[in-house]
Amino acid sequence: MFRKTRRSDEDFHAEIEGHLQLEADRRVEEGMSREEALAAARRAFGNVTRSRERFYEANRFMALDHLRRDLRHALLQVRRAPVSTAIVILSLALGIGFNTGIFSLADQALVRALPVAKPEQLVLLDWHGGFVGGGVGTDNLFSHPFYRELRQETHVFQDVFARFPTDVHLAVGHGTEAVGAEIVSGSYFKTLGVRPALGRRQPADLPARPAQQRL
Amino acid sequence: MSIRKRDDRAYSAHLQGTLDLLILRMLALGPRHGQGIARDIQRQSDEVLIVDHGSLYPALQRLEAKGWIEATWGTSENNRKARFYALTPRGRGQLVRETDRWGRLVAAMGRVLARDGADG
Repeated sequence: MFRKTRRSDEDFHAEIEGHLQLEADRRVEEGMSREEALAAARRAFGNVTRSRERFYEANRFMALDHLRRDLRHALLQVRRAPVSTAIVILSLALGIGFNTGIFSLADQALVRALPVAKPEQLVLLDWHGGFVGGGVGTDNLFSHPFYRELRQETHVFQDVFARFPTDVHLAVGHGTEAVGAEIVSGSYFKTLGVRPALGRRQPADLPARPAQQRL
Repeated sequence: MSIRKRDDRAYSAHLQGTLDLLILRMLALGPRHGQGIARDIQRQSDEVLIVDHGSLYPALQRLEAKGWIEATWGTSENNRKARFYALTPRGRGQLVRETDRWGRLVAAMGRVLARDGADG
């Protein structure tokens, strides 16, 4: 089944060189000088470089041809042995499936989980419907009275906090730097069960009072 | 068709199928190197068919890839290193088929051209 290794460009060139010498020999026999004969042989050959290019091209198409033959051979083998093919496909499918499953699980549990006390209990509320002032869509922007109502209804949630992403400029040393920040309600740290690394915590009951807040 | 006219009675065997067939035919007589193939085609056609040396080697390459001929490096009668080509059994089969096809083509051309003369 092993195919002969592909012929090298040097080998092809050596053959052409040999040809030119042989052709020159023939012309010398006919009475030409060696130099004349070699020049005539080259003329008769035409463009040696072009010939080498054609050799390259032929190799390229041959590679395609081999690929096609290999594929056909593979398909034939598949048809000839359906049972072992089925087993191979099945074990590959199961293997890939297991890997994907385990990876997704590890991804969710180790990488994507938020670094808070009980990430599995967190939910993000949003609504569907018409915007005030036109348009239909979905968002998690709620009015403050709605948020207040949610906080009072403690049958479902242990606690509720609101957050709103924004951009701020942070003074670092002598310069400033644009950083992402969040405006949050007072219940933020308590609900998430985290403590700030630096700074002071807002008293939980201090009501934040913007017109609207993200929840 | 690209059989090229060289002078009043010499044509270069440029047509791909024709050149392949001529090569196979020459190798049926025994192994030869490229230059020998070209020389023998020219001689046996009474100098009418002149092989373009530049297309000879790609043709040999093609035939070798198809498994119709095989090559080994050897030494020529005048002590030059040369690659000698020989016909494989598959090549022999191809030669028979192609000779047959060529015969039918020539016969058909002959019939058409003869009729043209008779009708005109």
